Amino acid sequence: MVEPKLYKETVERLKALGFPYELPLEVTHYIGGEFVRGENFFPVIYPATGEVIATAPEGREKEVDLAVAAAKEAFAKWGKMPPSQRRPYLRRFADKIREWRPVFEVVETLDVGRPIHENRLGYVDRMANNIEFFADFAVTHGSEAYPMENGYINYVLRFPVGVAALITPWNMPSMLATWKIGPTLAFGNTAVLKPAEFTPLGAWLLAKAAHEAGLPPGVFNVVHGFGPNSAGEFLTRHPDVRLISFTGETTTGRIIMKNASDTLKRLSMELGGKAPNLIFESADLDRAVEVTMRASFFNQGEVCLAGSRLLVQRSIYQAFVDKLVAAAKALKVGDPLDPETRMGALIAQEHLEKVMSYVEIARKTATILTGGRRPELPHPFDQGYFLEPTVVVDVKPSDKVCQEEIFGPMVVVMPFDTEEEAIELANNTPYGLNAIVQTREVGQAVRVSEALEVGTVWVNDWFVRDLRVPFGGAKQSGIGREGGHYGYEFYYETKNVCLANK
Amino acid sequence: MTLSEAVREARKERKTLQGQKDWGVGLEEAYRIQEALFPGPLKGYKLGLVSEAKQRQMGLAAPIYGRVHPGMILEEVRLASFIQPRLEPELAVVLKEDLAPGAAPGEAMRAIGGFYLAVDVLDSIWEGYRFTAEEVVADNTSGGGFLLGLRRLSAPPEGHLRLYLNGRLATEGPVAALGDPVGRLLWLANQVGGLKAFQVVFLGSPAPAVPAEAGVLEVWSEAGVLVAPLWEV
Repeated sequence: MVEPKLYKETVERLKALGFPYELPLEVTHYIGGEFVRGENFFPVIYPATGEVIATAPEGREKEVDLAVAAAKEAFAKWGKMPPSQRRPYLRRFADKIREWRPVFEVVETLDVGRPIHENRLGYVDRMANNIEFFADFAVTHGSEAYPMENGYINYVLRFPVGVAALITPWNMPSMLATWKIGPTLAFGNTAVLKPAEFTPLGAWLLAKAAHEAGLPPGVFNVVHGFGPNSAGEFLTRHPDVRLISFTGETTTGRIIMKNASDTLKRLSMELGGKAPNLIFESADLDRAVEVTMRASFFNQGEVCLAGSRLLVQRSIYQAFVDKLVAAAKALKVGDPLDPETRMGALIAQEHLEKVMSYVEIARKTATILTGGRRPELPHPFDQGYFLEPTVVVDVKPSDKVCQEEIFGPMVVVMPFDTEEEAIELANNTPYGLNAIVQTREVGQAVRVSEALEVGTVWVNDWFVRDLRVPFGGAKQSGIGREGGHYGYEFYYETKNVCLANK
Repeated sequence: MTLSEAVREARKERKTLQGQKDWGVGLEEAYRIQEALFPGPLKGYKLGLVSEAKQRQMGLAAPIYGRVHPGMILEEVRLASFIQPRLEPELAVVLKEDLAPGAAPGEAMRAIGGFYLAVDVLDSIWEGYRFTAEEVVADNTSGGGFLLGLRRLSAPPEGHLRLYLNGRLATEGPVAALGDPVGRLLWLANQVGGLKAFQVVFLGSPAPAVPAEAGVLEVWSEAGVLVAPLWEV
């Protein structure tokens, strides 16, 4: 094990920022308003140095039962409150998150290995807004009425569903947790959050924030652990869990659906992606490179929405690739806590190995223009799970590296000649989460956006989120949509009342 | 109004004054005013105007120094308690032995207990930090408050000191611009009649000062980082 020197420094940083808890961290469950010590501790590793920075308990049946029971009990009251009574609790929760902004920024980097620079681009604001937005939305939104011509009127009522299991991935842990917590709680459900085992710190800190904000006991619970035969599986099988919101790998999504089918749970699944990034000859080249750099290497490329398949019109192919490679070479990889760093470490050794296996395939079957190696970094970062930003060309659309989600800082680039060809290439994977279209021709943007089989299209940008709009994946990238009223289908039980007026 | 009265009143009323006036006071007299206006037990000293370019600009041939009282070493910074706060990344030396005036370089080296990253939270009464050498000396060389890093360094770090406000690089400069710390300590010991063990000497900034703003302050060096919150009130 690495000597935990850097960890000590980080602890000092957190304390200097007013971190309100004792360190080193022993992460706890949060069940029924209490921090429960738990058992079966597993190590939490800082991806940038390989250091053990905390321990977390593995939740088993016992903890899951307790948490679901606490959530069920709390639901009896929370679910009956009008939205306007829930709102002040959720606003305080959001305020607490903002108040701890610098601490969340550091903790998120410790969890994920992402550059702190990226956490400062509004990440914590988005976390708080995820909660506040839905608290307001639930208050301000009405429902529909359908007057009939023959003396009847229908009106729609919505009720909370019950206990929700929120299962979140390790790539954007605090963002995606709040993304689910917001609508779950605002619409009157109660929640048990099971964060990914690699990233328990952010969830633990969220529980601390919820607790200090005075959220009623049991409304929000956190149980740590793994997926199969652990907290994740027990939650998804639990008879008292009524809804599951899952973000993660498609293969895990399939298992969760199977587990959930016995008790007919509602499912919202945001799964993998292999987003095409289409760059047409009319695109502003410099902007296209800037958007592509973000879409490719933000969070080390560990983003389901990453634009990892670049499709570039042949007339600008060489110019674009040259600029992209230059930008990738200039990206500063290293200490994620250094404000100058622009790319951090991958989440774990095993994930680095998985990404490297795709690099090795590319080495044999394609051409690596830049990257494909682990950067040389000073101690203790030589122990971290770093990989240089990697750009691969000379690939065929059917290649493994063009079909499978790599979830790392590696993109493939393919040329195309016509718009039709670009669309065909773009749709040619089992995934359909999102796409990027870069063009200055309005008609083209409209045509191509319409033809892409995806849940979200970004034109000339990436990762912009408006919480009012539908979000989710087509094809193998997911089931259901969240955001604004699109989340009603999942988070609310809907009832129609048909009234005779004479 | 004399320079002494002007500084005393501005500090008391927490207001700024128009500087760059001729008060009929020399540098030695300015130091006497400083001592009279900022009395009390000393935690140490700060050096100012350490670069030769700045000294020339102010018509000086040496740095200036100010007094550091125990209350000026801060755990956290509340900006509302300052008049016009600015920030400088610095290095500080903590002494482990006394250093008499006229000591030899070897004695100064042995007296050094360690180096620390530091931040000088400057606070001048002179509007816009426009002042003469006498004015800034009488105002305790814009003495406001100081943050000290938690980690002891056995030698000054290589490279640059970089100061970030809310993740944005606000100012930076090469550590080498601070000059030789031993020479600085010997000079200062001569000026003030000797330094004491456990006193701290802030060696000045290699970078231009920047206005403070609320949020997260970081100073990065090759040898570590200093972090502190800057609160509005």
